[in-house]
Amino acid sequence: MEFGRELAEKALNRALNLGALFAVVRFHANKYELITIDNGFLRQYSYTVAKGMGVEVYTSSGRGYAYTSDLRWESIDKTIERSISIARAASSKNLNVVFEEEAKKIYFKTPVKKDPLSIDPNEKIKLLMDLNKLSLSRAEIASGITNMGIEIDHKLVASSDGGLAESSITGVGISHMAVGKVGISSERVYDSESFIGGYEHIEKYDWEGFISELSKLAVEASKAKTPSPGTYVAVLDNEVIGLFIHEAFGHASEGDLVRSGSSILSGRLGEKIGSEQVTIVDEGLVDGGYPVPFDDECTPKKKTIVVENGVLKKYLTSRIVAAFLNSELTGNARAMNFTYDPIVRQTNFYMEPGDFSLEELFEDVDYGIYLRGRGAMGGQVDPSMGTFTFHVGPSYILRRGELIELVRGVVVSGNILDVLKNVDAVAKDLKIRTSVFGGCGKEGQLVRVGDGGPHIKVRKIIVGGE
Amino acid sequence: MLELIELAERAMGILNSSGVSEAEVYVTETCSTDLKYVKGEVDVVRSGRTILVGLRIVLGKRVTVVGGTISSLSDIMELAESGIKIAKASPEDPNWRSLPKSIGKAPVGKIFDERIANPDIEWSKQVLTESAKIPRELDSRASLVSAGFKYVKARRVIVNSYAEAISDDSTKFLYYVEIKAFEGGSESGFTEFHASTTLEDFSYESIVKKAAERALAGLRAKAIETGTYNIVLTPKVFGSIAASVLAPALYADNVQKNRSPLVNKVGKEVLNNEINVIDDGCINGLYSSQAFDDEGVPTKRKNVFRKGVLETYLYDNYTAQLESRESTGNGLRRSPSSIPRPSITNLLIEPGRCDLDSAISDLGRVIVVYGTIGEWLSNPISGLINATITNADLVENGRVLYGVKGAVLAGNVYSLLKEQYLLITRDVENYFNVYSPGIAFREVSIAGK
Repeated sequence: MEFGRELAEKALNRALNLGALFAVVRFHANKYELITIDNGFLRQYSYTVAKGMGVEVYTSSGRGYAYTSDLRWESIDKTIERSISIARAASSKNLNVVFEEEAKKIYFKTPVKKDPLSIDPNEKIKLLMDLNKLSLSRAEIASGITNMGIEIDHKLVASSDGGLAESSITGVGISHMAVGKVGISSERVYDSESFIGGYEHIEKYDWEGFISELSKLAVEASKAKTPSPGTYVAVLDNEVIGLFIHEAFGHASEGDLVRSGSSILSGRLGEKIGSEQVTIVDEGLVDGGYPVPFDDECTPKKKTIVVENGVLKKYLTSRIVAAFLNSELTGNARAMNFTYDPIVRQTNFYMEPGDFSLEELFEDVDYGIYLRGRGAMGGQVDPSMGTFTFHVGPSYILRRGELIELVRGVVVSGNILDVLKNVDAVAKDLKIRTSVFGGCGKEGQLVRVGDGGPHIKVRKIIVGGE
Repeated sequence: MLELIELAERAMGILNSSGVSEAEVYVTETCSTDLKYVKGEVDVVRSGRTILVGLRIVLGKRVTVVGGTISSLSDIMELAESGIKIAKASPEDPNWRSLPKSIGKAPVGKIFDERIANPDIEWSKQVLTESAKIPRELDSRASLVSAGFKYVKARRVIVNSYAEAISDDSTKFLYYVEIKAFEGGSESGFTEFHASTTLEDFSYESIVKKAAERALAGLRAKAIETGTYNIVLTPKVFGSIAASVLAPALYADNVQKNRSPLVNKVGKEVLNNEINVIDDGCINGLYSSQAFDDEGVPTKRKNVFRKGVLETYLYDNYTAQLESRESTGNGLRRSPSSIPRPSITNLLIEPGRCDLDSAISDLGRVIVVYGTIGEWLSNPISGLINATITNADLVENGRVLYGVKGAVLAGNVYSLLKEQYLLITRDVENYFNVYSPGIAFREVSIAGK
C-alpha cells in the first residue's frame, strides 16, 4: 500500500470529524541497505523497509499520538480513533498549540544521478571488499570492519491548518573501523563519510585515501599514551566543535527541556551566556548537512539564530512548546519514524565562523591539547546541569603552538556555560557533516542531524585520562 | 492481517517455493503505550502496533537478511524477491554451515504481566500525579520536572527450514522520574528509573524518593582536585559500565575477530577471585528473560567468570559453528532485519556479603558515585573506561563531606576488577538487563579542577 496526498487529507478529515481541534498526519517510508565486510568476509547484506503512519491529535482534554505499520484504510481509521480516545484520556488542562500564520506547501527532493539501491550489489560488495583488504594489508591492523549505508527516506506530512509537505531524501556513505594492535596495546578508530545524493558521490570520492589514513591512525594510536588528567588550553577542530555544540549546547536549547525546567538555559533569553565570538545557529538546509526542509508537524524549517555574539536569542520549538514558551515556531519537531510522536530536535546545529586564521589559533598556546574529531565516539550531556562529556579521537599535545605527541582515550568534560565563556578565538574554516550511519539520540529516538563549525580555541577544558 | 504464526508459515512457504537452500522467518508484533508527564500534567499519550518481519535467506553459502514492516503477504513477497536477488549477487561465506538444525524453548516464567499488556491509563495518571507530590513533601527545594511510563507487549515467532514455528509472549515496563532541586542560585538534578518485565516489585514511592534525595545532595556538590581516589560505584552505575565495556568483550564474534581483550583468556584468572559473573536468559522474571534467542535456540544459564576465571564467551549459531560447538543461546538481533549476533541476555554479577552503607563506612575516604554520563562511550576493545561524574559524594568514615560533580573517572576495566578491586556489596539493582551490586575500587584516576 503506497501513500499519497489524498490519503493524508482523508485521514486528517477523519481526525477532525472525530473531534480533533488540530491534527497532523504523517506517512513515512524508509529504505535502508547496509553492507558489512568484516575482516575480509561479507558479514551482512541487509535491506530494511519500514513504512507506516502516525497521527498526532489535540483535543480539548489532551494530546494523543497513535501509529500503525498497517497502511490499509481500516487500520488507519482505527489508529485515528485510538489517537482521539487516548488524547481524551490525557486530561491536560493548559493545552495550546501555535498555528502557522501562512500554511505552506513544500516539496523537497535531493538530486540523485544514480539510484544507489539500483546499483549492482556485486559492484558495491567489491568496492567494500577491496577497501577492507586495503586496511588489513597494513601491518599491525588486527581487525577491520567496512560498511556501506544507503538510505532513501520518503515522508509526507499534512496538518489541519493547511500545511502539506513531502520530501524524498537519499543518502549514501561508507564507514570503517580499524583496530590497531601493537604488542598488547589495542586501539580502535572509526570514521565515516556520508553524502546526501546518489551513488555518484561514492564513485568520485577517494576511499582508498580515507581507509589508508584511518588505518595509519589506528596503528599510531595503539602506540600512544593517554593524556595526563587535568585542565588544558584546547584547540577544537571542525568535528569536535560540532560534537561540542550539538551535545553540550544544542540539547539545552531544545524548548521542551526549557519548558519542563530540565535545561540550564531555562529563563536565560537575552542573557550573555558565551563570549562575543560565539554565534550559534540551527538551519534546515545547509551544505554538508542533513536536509530538513520542514519538520514532522509540517512547519517549515528556517534558519534559527540561537546565540548571537554570546547572547541567547531563541530556543528551538515544536507547536506545543512554542505555545507554552510564548515563542515562535522554529520547525524543530522531529520524530525518528512513525512509531514516535515528534519532540524538539536539532537539525543542522553549528557555530558560525569567525575571523581568525588557523595559525593564529595555535600560535599562542604554550601548553595545551589539539582535540581531533576523527575517531570520536560521541558524547552525552546532562542538560539540566550543563555537564557534558565526549570521547574525541586521537589528539595531540601542544607545546608552544606545535603538535608534539599523539594521545588516545581522550575524554573531555565540563560545563556548557563555562566553556562558551572561555572561547577566545573562532577561525574562518566552517565545515558541516552528516552521517547515514548514526545521528542524535534523545528519549530513545535517533534522528539524522548535521553538525560542525570552525576551529575554535578555549582557555580551559577538563581532560580525563589514566 | 493473518495470525502471526500463520503469517510466518506462509512466509516460509513463499521462500521454500523460491528455491532457497535454507530460510528463516522471524516475526515480531509489538504493541506499546507511553505516557509522558511534564509540568503537572500528562503531556502526551502514545499508543500503537507494529508488525516486523525478518527473512534470512541462504543460497548455498550465500546469505542475506531482509526485513521491515508489513501490511500484507505481498509485502513479504517483495522482501523475499529483494533478498534472493541480493543473495545471488553475494560472494559465498566459506564459514557458513547452516541455520540452527533444531529450535525450541527453555522453561521461563514471570515474563508476561497482563497489567503491562493492557495498561490502565487512569492508574498510570494517578501514579504520575502522586509522584509529583513526593519531592515537595520531602523537601520544598525539590520538584519533579518530568516522569513517564512505557508499556510494551511483544510476541515473537520464529521458524526455519529445519523446524516447526515456535513463539513466545512477553511484556516490558519502564517508569522514570527526573527531579530537580533549587536553593538560591544553585541547582541540581537526578533521574531514576525502574525497568522490569512485570509490575510485581514496582514501587514508585521509593524511586521518586531516591531521585529527590540525590538531587538535593547535588546542591552541595563541588569540583574536586585531580588525583587518585578510592571509589564506590553504586549498582546502576557499574551495571551501565559493565554493559558498555565488559559485555562486548565476551561476544564470540569480537573475540574471533581480535576485537576483544579477552582473546585466549578462557581458563585464566582475569578478574579478582571474589567476582562471579553469569549470563542467564532463562531465569524467571528478569528484564531480558525469554524462552529462546532470536534464532530459536533455547536460552541457557552460563558461568562466564567463576572466581575471576573466564569460563566461556557468548555464542550465536554462526560463531559457535566456527568453533564446532553449540550456541549458548545468545544470538540476538538489533531489529528483525539485522543478522543475529552474540549479545548478553541477563548479565548477573553475583553480590557479596556487605551492605552498601557499611562498605562505604569501612573504606575511609571514598567517592561514592551515584550518577555518570558518557560511560557507555567507553572502549570495549582496549577496556578503557571514561565516565563523567554527575552525582557523587565524598565520604570519610561514613560521613558525607560534600557532593562531587563535573569530574572524569578513568581506568581500565580489567585492572579495576583485579588489581584495584576492593569489595563487592550485596545490594543488587538492574540497569535494564545487567544486574549488579555496588563495587569498590582503590586508587582510581579522577580528573577534576
